[in-house]
Amino acid sequence: MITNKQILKILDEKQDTFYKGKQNYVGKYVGQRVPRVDAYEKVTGRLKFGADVELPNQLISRLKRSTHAHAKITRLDTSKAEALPGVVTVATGKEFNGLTGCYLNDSHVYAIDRVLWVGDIVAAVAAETAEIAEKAVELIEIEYEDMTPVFDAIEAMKPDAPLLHPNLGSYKWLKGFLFPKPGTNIANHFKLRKGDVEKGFAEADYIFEDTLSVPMVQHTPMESHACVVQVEAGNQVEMWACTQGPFLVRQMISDAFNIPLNKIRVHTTGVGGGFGAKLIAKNELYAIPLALKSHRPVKMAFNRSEEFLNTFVRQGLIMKMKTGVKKNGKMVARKIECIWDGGAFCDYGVSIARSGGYASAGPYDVENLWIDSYCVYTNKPSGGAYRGFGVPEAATVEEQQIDMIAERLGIPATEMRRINFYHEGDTHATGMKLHSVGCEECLDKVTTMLEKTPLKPKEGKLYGAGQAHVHKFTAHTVAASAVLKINEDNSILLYHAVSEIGQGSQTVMQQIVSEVLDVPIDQIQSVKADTHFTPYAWQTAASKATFFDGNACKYAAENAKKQLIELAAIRFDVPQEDVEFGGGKLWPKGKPESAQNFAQVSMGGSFPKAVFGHGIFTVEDGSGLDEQTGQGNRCSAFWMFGGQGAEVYVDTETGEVELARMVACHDVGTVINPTTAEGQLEGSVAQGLGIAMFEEMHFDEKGKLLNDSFTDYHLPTTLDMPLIETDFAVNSPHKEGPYGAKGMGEPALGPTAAAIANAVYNACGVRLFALPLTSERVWKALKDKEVQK
Amino acid sequence: MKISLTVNGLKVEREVSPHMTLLDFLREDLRLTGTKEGCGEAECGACTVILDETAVPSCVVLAVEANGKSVLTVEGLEKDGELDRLQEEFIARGAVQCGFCTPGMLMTSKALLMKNAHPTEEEIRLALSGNLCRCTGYKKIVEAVSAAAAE
Repeated sequence: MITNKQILKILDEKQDTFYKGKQNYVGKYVGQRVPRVDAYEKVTGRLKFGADVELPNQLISRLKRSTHAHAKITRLDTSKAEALPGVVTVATGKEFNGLTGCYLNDSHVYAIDRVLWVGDIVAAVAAETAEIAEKAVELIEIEYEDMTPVFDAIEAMKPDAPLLHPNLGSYKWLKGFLFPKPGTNIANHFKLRKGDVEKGFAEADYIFEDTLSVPMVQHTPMESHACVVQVEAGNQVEMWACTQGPFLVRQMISDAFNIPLNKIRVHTTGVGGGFGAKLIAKNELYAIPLALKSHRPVKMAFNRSEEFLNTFVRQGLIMKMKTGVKKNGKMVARKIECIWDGGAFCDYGVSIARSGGYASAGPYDVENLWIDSYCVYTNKPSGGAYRGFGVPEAATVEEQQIDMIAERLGIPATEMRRINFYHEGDTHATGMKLHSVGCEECLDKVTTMLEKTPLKPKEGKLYGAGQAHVHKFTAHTVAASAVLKINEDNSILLYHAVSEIGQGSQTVMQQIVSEVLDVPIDQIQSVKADTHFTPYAWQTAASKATFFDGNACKYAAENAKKQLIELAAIRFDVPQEDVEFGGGKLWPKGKPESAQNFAQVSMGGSFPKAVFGHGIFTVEDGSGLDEQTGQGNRCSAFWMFGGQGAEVYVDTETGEVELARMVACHDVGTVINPTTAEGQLEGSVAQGLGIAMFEEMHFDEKGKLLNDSFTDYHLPTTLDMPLIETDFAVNSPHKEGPYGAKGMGEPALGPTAAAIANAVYNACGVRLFALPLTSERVWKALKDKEVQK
Repeated sequence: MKISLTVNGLKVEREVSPHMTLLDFLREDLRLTGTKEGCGEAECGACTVILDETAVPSCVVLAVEANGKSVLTVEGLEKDGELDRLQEEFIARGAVQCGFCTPGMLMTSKALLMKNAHPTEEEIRLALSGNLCRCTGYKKIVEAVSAAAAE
């Protein structure tokens, strides 16, 4: 359906815009504008997302949430709720008190004896209808005894701060990877020490010190979390969930409820956007006890308020940055302190403090570094991964400081960046040797795009332009695996566990397999992740799918090809080197008329042998980082680079900032699909624009979130969008990536907010030390500036 | 209450509760799950359907309000195996990512083109300003609607 003539004609019009460089690979399928393989089921409304799944006899569930930020539960009475006709079961932390997590098992399912934030789940109800479940939730009686809450991460680090997790020392965590400080609210303290930072400052011509902050924001995927779960005989859990991490969801269910992994089956449904929010188990955990108790299928779909408070938020960050520079702009030392506002559970935030910490000095080769990065518990919603894993937050601070320093030195910020950038073969801040480094090409292309067609001045408004550049890590030692089956009719099934969350991975994986096997994309069907049948993948996270799982798919295809050649050699009675392979067929050298397709070669004739390709991939020299120095061999399989430039108009009467144009160039290695790659950059502009200019979670003095709806939490619309131009670096493919590809989802958001902030400063001289750059704040800063004059 | 309406060209008669939304009626009673719920308060456009030629957020329209009217949902766009021009352009121009906002985007765009066959880019942006998308940055969506309106 998606390869109709109309579409091919449109694609032909775009054929000229491939990103081909000296070394970048452009093949028959890889590098081509292949239409998304999942688009047809999406434009027809046929794809089933989480809430679209319905099982016979299913119950609807609702949650009872805490109204207190930090309190003891002194009475919890569910009897009236249970007595309501139509209510099937109620579950609380009295019965289900296991802890779970990904990196650090600090998360309860339902509050056990204390609530830790306004919105913490105290009980869950399953009933015949939504109305009954809602009524039952109102009938649950809770009495609280208030405890002192702490909402500010800096306050929470003080020795006399109330402790959210007094038992932190007894929790299970990834040893050697995280360094929690039991007896405090510090869930992780990451340290990086390189060179001699004090010596560096002594040698510097100038020292600059700045502190900036970014607030908590929420991912707001258009689809809220939803799942349906049933428990079959023998306590076998079967779940359908819109998740980015089916294997992680399985692990967390196992930890929380003490069920072995082979009795938990998680199917991935369509996923309506993730951005990190759907990595770990949330609603999935709340649903399990209801299904265990009722022996009926239970649907647990979050409403929008629950999406804000009960999934992940992006952690707030306060970052202090001291930089020593030479007169020419060369940085000689940087001392950085990152304090991440991790919320009530820091299970995932601990990892962001670690990696966001080691990347916080930006894509620059600085000889002397000292970084402390803390993830801190507060009585707020839990922080977690949000597209960029700390890089966009840290870059908001770090990249504004580059502009501030360059201005004070009287050199262009682009030059300051250029003389400090990493190059191929340099040693990264973490000690790893860098390969595939495209930051300079990105800077050149962004600068050219901005200068080539500068926007015209607008009457009564101030114009400004600014840039920001980032580097982004990925995972290091994680497993990826794939399986490929040739069917009897020559169609192909591809099994991998990457969730298609909108990023286009399903299409990219099929392009890679098509390239290896030289078969059309639509000869392949991807199987959605299912923990009982698809091979293992860590998570759809860290922009790692194309590189890790793409390699696994490539190896699976190569393995199938090898098996086909072996079988063809027997069939044709020729040596293997005399078997020709092309166009989805095999034939003996010199006899193309004898060509057979894959099914004929494998399943035809008198000795059918099913071909079953498999591929596994990991990075074998990946390593952790030393506890004291943050140094290691290879903490990230690869690094992605990218820069963006913003042009704004500022209305000095109202403080309103109009983002007029964003240009973006990223180094993602080989671009597997230009259309979907551009889509990642364009989407990041919208998200970054919201984060830069509107988005902030506002809490009242008692910790209640005031804007947990789209009415009060403004997101960018079509009317807010600037002109967008995108490009890619083409001269730095990665030697280990599939056809040279790396990744791109997260770094796309990395520089956006910082570039906008730098453009606003360039336009009107206002530098706000906190996001977002709302009209009100910009207006106030403009007035303050006038007063100072 | 008993309602009688046309959904995607087919006559439907059903007994519904007076406070059931059109969205729940479509999704739960008719199992037409192509129409999505994003916020439940008419702020995101994911649930947009066409009610007698007007795009409406079905999460704040009661099923009984559709009595005697004609409803078009995303499932009704494809006719006899032929995709609507908007659907083709959304595929070809990369306007689809996660796909959750897509049905609402298509229905808002369809209603626009029913009233204004050749809208300007500004008119398209204005019409789609109530439909949120978190993936695409809207660029390719606006391009796809422009292209569908071009012929």
